[in-house]
Amino acid sequence: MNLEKIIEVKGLTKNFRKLIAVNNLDLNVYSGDVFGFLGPNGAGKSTTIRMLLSLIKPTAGSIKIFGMSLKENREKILRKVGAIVEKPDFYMYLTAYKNLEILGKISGGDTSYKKIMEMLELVGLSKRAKSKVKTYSHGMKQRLGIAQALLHDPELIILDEPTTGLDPQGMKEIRDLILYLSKTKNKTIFLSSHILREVELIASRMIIINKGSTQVEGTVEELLNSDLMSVSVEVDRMDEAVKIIHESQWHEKLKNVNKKEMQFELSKEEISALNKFLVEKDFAVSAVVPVRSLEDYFLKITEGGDK
Amino acid sequence: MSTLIWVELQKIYKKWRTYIGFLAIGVLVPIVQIALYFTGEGYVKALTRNFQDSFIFVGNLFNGYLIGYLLLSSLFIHIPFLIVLVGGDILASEATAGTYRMLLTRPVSRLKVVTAKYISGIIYVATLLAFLALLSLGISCLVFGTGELISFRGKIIIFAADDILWRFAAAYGFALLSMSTVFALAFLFSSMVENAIGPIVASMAVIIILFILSALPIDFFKDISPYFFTSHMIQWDGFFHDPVDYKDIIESALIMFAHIVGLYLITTYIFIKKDILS
Amino acid sequence: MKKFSILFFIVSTLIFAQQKDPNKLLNRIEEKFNKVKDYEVDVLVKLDFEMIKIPESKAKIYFKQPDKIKIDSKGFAMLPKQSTNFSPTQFLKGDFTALYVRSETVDNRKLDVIKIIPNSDSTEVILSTLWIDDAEQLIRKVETTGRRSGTIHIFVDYNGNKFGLPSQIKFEFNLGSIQIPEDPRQQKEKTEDEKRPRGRQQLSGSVIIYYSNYKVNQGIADSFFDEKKEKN
Repeated sequence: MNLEKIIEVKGLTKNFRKLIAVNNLDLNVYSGDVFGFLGPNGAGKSTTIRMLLSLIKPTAGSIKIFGMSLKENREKILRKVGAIVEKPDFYMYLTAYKNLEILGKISGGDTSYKKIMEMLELVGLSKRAKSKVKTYSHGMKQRLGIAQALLHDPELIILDEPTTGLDPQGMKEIRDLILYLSKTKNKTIFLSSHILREVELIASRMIIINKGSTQVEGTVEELLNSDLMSVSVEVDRMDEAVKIIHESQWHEKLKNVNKKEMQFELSKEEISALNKFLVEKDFAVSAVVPVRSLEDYFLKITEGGDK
Repeated sequence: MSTLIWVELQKIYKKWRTYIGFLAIGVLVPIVQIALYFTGEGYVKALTRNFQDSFIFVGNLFNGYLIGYLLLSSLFIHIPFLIVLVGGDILASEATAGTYRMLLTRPVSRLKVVTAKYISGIIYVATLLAFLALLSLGISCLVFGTGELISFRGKIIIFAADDILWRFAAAYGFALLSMSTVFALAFLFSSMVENAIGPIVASMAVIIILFILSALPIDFFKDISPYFFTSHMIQWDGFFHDPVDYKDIIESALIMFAHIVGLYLITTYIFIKKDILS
Repeated sequence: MKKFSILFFIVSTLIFAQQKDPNKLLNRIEEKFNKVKDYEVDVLVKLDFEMIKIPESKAKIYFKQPDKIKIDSKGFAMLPKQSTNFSPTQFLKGDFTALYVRSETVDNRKLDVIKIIPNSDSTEVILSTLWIDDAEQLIRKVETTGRRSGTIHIFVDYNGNKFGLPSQIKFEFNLGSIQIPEDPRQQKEKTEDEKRPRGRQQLSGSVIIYYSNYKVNQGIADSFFDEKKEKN
C-alpha cells in the first residue's frame, strides 16, 4: 500500500452549542484508497465531511489534506477535491449544462463544451444536458452531482452517501463508477455511507464512527474477513447439547446460551467441525447461522443500541 | 474574480424573480406616461399660472424631460421594494436551495464569493435604474420631445435644454448610490438566514419604518431623521435645484457610501464566519 | 371713436387751451409706426424675477400690419405681452380717453405725459401713462396698470432706429400679491426655499428684451402667419 496520506485528521471536534457532533476524531486516508466512512445516521459523518470541505469550522483539531493544513491552504486543496455533500442541490432554474459550466469555471477546470458533454456522457445525462435541473429526478440529480464532482479532474473525491435514493440498478452504476475512478483513474475516494454492505463492496479501508467518534478502523479485509465469526446454532434437546458442549473442547468457543440457541465464536473450518460433532452426538441441527462480528456490531449501533 | 462575477450575473439574470423589477417598471412607466400625456400640461399651467396674464409663452415646457423628471420623482421611493426582491434573495436562496454546498466547496475564498455577489447585485441595481432611465427619460423624450425643464423649488426654475441631461445623469448616479444602499441592507439580511422571504420582508420593513419615522411631525424624529439613510436617498433631487447645493449632496453621498461599505463589511464577516449547515 | 375724439378735442381745447392735444401726439406716433408694413426681429430675453429662474432665451418675432404676430423660438421663451409688438397701437385699442397731464424733461429730452383711460369697464388695462417724445414721435416710457397683471413700467430704447422700432425694452413688473403655486408632486422634504410661509407674495421683477437684426418691410406673406399660430 502506498503510504502517502491524502487526508490526515487529528483530534477533530465540533460542538454545536451543547451538542457534540464530532468528538476527537482521528482518521487517515491514503493515496489510492477507497475509504469507507461508515456510521449510522447522526453519527457525525456529514459534519466531518463539511469540515473536510471547510463548510464548517472545527471547534478543535487539525485537518491536513495533501499534506497541507486545510485552514491555511483551503483554495489550493479544494482545487484538487471534488465532492458531493448530502443530497446534490443545483441551481434548479439553470440547465444541467449551465450548472456544470458555472461550477467548473469556479473550480478553474476545463469548461469547454466537449469536456462538459463528456462528463454528462459519463454519468448518462448527455441527452438531458439542456434541460433545467428542476425537471430532473432524484437519481438524475445524484448522477449530475457526481459529474460536478469530477468535472475539474480532482485527485480526491469525497462522496457523501452517493447512492441514497437510488434504485438497485442506479446503486450498482455508482459503485461501478467509483471502482472505475479508483482503479482506472487512480483517484482517492472518501465514501461515506450508513450501509455496511455498500462500503464492503468497494472500499479498501474503512472506519466506523458513532456519536462523533471512531469505533473501528482498518482495512476492509481485516475487519470483515477476519477468521472469527459469531455463529448461532440451533439444535433439538438444547439443555442436553449445552451440557455436552461444556464437557467438550468446544466450551471455550461458546460465548452465550439462551433458550433457542447457542452462540459460538468460530473460524470457518470450526463451523463444519462443530456441526459434525453435534450430528455425531445424535443432535438434530436445525440451524447454523454465521454472523460476522462487525456486521453484528454495526447492526446494533445502527438500530440505536450500544456496544 | 471576473469569473465569479460572471457566474453570479448568470444566476441573477436567469432567475425570473430578477425580472419582477423590470416588469414593474415596464408596466408602471407607460401607464404614468399615458396619464401624463393627458393631464400633464396641467402641471405646467399650475406652475406658471401667475405669469399667464402678463406673459406669452413660446415653446414646449411639457416635454420628455419634464415627464422623465416627474416619473423619477414618483417612482423613486418604490424602486427599493424591487431592489430588495433580488438583494434579499441573493445569499439566502443559495442556503434554501442547498447550493452553498456546491459553491463554497470550490477553490475560491468566501470573501471573493461574497464580494462577487455584492458587485453583481450592484450591477443588477444599475441595470434596473438604466432600464428606468431608458423608459422614463429616453422614451418620453422620443415621444414628447425635449426642451427646457420646469421645476419648482419654492420658486419656479426653468433649466435650459442643454443644462438638463447632466442633471439627470448625476441624479441617476446618485440614485444608484441610494439603491445600492438598499441592496446592501437586503444583502446583509440575506446573509443571516436561510430563506429569502425573511430578508425581503425585513428590508422592506426597515425602509418603510424609516420613511414613516422621518415623515412624522414629531420633533424627536425630525432630529434623528438625518441619521436615517432613507433621509439621504432623496438627495438626487438636489441636482434639480439652482444653484446645486453640492455640500449637501456630497454629505448625503458620503453617508450612503459609508452605509454601503459598512453593510458590506458586516455581511462579509458574517458570511465568512458562517457554518454552512443547509 | 372718431366722434368721441372730436368731442374730446373740443372739450380739451376749451379746458387746457395752452396744452398740447394728446390725440394729435398719439396720431403722429401712429403715423410714423404705420410706415412699417412688416418686420422680423431677433430678440433676446432676460428675466429677473424672485419667483422664477429662467435662462436667457432667444426668439424671432414677425410682425405684419395691422396685428399679425408670429413668434418663433427653438426653446422655451417667456415674453411680456407688450413686448411682442411694441407699437403705439397696442395702447390705443378700443375706446379710450386721452388726457394730457404735463410735460417732463428726462435725459435732456422733452417728453409729454399722456394718460389713457379706457372707456369700457371690461378691459384688462385700467390705466396707461405714456411718455411721448414728440420730436422723434416715439414712446419713451409707459406705465400701465392691469386688472390682473398689476403695474408694469416699460422703458424703451430705440438706438436711432429710423422706423421707430425699439432696440431694447425694460419691463418692470409688480404683479401685485399672488398665490404661490403648490408643488403638485408634494412628496419630498421641504427644502429651505420651501419652508418659507406659503401664501400670497409680491411678484415683482424685471424683464429686459434686446431687439436686433430688424428686417423691415420685406413683404411677409399673410399665409406665413397662418402656419401654426403660437399660443398666448
